[in-house]
Amino acid sequence: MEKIAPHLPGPEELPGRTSLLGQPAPEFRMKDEEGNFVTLRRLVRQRPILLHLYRGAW
Amino acid sequence: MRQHYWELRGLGIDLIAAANDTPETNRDLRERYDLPFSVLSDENGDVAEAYGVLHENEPRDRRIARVSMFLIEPADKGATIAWEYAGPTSRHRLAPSRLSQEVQTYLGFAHQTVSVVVPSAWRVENVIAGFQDPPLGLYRTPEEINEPGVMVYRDYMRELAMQAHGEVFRLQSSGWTLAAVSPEMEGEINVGQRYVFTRDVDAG
Repeated sequence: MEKIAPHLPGPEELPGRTSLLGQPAPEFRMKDEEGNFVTLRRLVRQRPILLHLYRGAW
Repeated sequence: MRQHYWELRGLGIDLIAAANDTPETNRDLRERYDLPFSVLSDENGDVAEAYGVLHENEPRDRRIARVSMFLIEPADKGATIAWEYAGPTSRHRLAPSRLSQEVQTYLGFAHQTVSVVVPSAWRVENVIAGFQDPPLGLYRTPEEINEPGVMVYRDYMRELAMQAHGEVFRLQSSGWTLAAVSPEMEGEINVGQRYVFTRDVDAG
């Protein structure tokens, strides 16, 4: 489906970063809470995902 | 993030979180907050780097991510990034209403609805007080008052409240119509106001 309105980066976003919009998503392999490996390929097989990266509990 | 999860779930999108923590830490996190979504272990921050959101000015020896979100859709070979948000620091979160707006636009919804909960002032201060250790009112030394963990939570809660006010202003001034205002209840306690905004987008 065609996009209705393109996303306009807000002033709060990271300056100087090259946008990945429309690019292939870098493949990844991460461990889940049980220590099993999960890949992006597996995750998006059924439906879109929202990947949320955050600072963590350090 | 819980609010994000249920909104996305309703739109047919899975939420996956990831940070530079061990699987053990993430398991504890999920159990403690009863999180309905998976938290993956981006050990070494390699995924954050691949997605261009590694925090360069991190003073400690940790490769952590700036707060960021990527809507990834299945493609013929692999997957494509359909929408992204990359915050300027590791703490600048995206308002849930903004995420909801972006996802509805991606899905091609002509009639869009988002909502913002503005917490009441006493609610914000109450939550901040709950984070205090030792609790407010107990004797504290000047060193303890400046203890970083407490300050971070205090500032963070105020930031969230300010962000909610900012979102109401942003939506009002960018073509959204205020459709409803209702008291936000937690049990029988009014903890704030929920502002519901709608807009019709010309699909042409």
